[in-house]
Amino acid sequence: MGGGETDNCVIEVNNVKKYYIRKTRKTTKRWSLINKEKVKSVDGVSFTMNEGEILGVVGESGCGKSTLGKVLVNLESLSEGSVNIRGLNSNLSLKNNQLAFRKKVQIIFQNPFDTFDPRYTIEKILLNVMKLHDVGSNTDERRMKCIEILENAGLTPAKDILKRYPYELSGGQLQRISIVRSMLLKPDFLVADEPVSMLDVSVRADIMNMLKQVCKIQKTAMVFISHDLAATRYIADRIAVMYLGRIIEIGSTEEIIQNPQHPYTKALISNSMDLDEDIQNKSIIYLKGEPPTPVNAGPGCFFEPRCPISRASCSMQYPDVRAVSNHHEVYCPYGTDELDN
Amino acid sequence: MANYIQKRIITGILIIVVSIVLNFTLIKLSPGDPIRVLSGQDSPSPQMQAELTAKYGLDQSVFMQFINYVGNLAKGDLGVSILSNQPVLKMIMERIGPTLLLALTTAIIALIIGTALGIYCARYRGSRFDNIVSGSSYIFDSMPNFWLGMMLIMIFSSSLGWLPTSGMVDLRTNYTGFNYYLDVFKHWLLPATTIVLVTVPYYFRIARSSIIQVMSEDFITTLRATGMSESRIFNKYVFKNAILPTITVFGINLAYIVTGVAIVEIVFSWPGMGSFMLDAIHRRDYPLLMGIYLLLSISVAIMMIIVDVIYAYLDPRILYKER
Repeated sequence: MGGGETDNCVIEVNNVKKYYIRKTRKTTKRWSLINKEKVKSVDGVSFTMNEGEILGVVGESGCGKSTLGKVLVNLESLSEGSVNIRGLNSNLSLKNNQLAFRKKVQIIFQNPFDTFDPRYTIEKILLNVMKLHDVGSNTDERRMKCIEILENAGLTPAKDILKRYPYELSGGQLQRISIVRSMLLKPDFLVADEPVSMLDVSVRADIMNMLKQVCKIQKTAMVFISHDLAATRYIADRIAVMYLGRIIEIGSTEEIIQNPQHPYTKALISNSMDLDEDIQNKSIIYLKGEPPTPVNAGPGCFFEPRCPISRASCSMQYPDVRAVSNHHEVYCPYGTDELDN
Repeated sequence: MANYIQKRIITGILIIVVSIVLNFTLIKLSPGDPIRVLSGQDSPSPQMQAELTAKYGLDQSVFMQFINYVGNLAKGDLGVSILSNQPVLKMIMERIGPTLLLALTTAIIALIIGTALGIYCARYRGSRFDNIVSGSSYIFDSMPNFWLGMMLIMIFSSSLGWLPTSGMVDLRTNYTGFNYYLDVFKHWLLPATTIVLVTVPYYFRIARSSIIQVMSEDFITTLRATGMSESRIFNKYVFKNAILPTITVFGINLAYIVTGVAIVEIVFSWPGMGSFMLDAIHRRDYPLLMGIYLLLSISVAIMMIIVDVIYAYLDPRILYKER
């Protein structure tokens, strides 16, 4: 997948799994037993990314997108598999030198209002990060740098903003500061976990442009997690569609949008109103039911219970990967042509 | 900040003024005839009645009585107790020392123990230690303090005979210097243990839950993502954010410091404000009661100002909302 063979491969994700243990109570006639079950939040995800590449991860709520993001930056430990950043195992790098690892790998969260400690000014927040990672040699130099990068990010007057507290700023401003804060460390790899979903529509485009620009300039590989297909299409070079902890289709953005192969991807696109008109003209595919529980999704294809084109064989075994074209892979053996009729 | 403090002080003064008015009115409205108590007779002679009424100014209109009361307050005169014929201020001053000794020390000890336990249990949530402490915190929280006090007396004084049952000093002896303090300490130990045992659960639960809450805040995850070490995050960020509710509760506790330990004082015959206040209520000693209530409302108002100021210092958002 991707161009993992070349030298500028930034991140290599191998069969990453994240299981949570959930305790449930099972009540029999006399006893109440505690039952432990595994919630498979992320269930075997693999991909690679190059410098400056933006991978959009889309999927419905609860499909494990955010967990994947946290696992990738090691805020959650992974249960199985490995993540290599610049060829180094991220678990080991974290253990060897936490600061160095955290500098290379950054994350931007969904809710900009909760990202910062409410008791510190923006100046303090930025200076603390710079001091921690030895950016700049003294406070004056760091402050100058803060003003410079804030102004570059369109946050003017920067001197005024530095003195403010987080609750005195708008969501858009805070999200910009969030981006500035992570990018001033010049990370190799960045996860943006639904960075625009809490913002007004009017400032979304600005934030996405800013993210796209800094990633391309600094050659940072970014995973852009979103449930908004139109936004993802705008920003991402490649798109990965997740369903119940697994990637079901991955490929270049236009390939996925124009030629979706998995029925789930197709349903997602048909329900996304903001995409091109020629795509919109096709009829909307309605999915029935809920996704199965991530505890025991069954031996077959996880999408089988809701799939409009499911066949008997689908419930027997999880489908193998099928290469559609060079960089387009799908976990469904059947084409989706019959859905169009 | 100065503006904020000024506002708080004005509010505090208003609270005191309102409470003076309310005190006065409520006591005037309460049932019972002070003349009967004063004379010590069920039906005093008309002449005696008239004399007493005139002496205590009870013949004047209620409004005039109020004016007189406020005027005397301004001069620092809280009136004279009906029963003992002594100045109220002097009586309160005699009694307040032991109460402060008991209440302040226990409040601080409970704060320290409770918060420390809360922090420890929050960091090791779900451990056996946490389970034991959390469980017993509910037990002690639901125990009435007078009952616990009596149990402690039964065990440590009556059965084991280790500690004295009541009072603040042993009246049969005449200790001086170190021995005196040791004696007071021995008397202090049981009532203090009682109060600490029932107040620690408050501080414990508040500290534990607010730390757990702050630990799960998004900005803590952000700090973790910047590579800060866990211990630094905890000391610098979690603790400062989580200590706010504890300060509030401590402030409220301190506000009721004069009367909060009254029941325990009565159980242990501690010569503080507790039994004193109860007596004043029983015997309708109006000047004394008003004096005690005034003291209470002033201490509540002052504590509120102090807590508000500490709060504003710790959480700048409060100042922002005031603007």
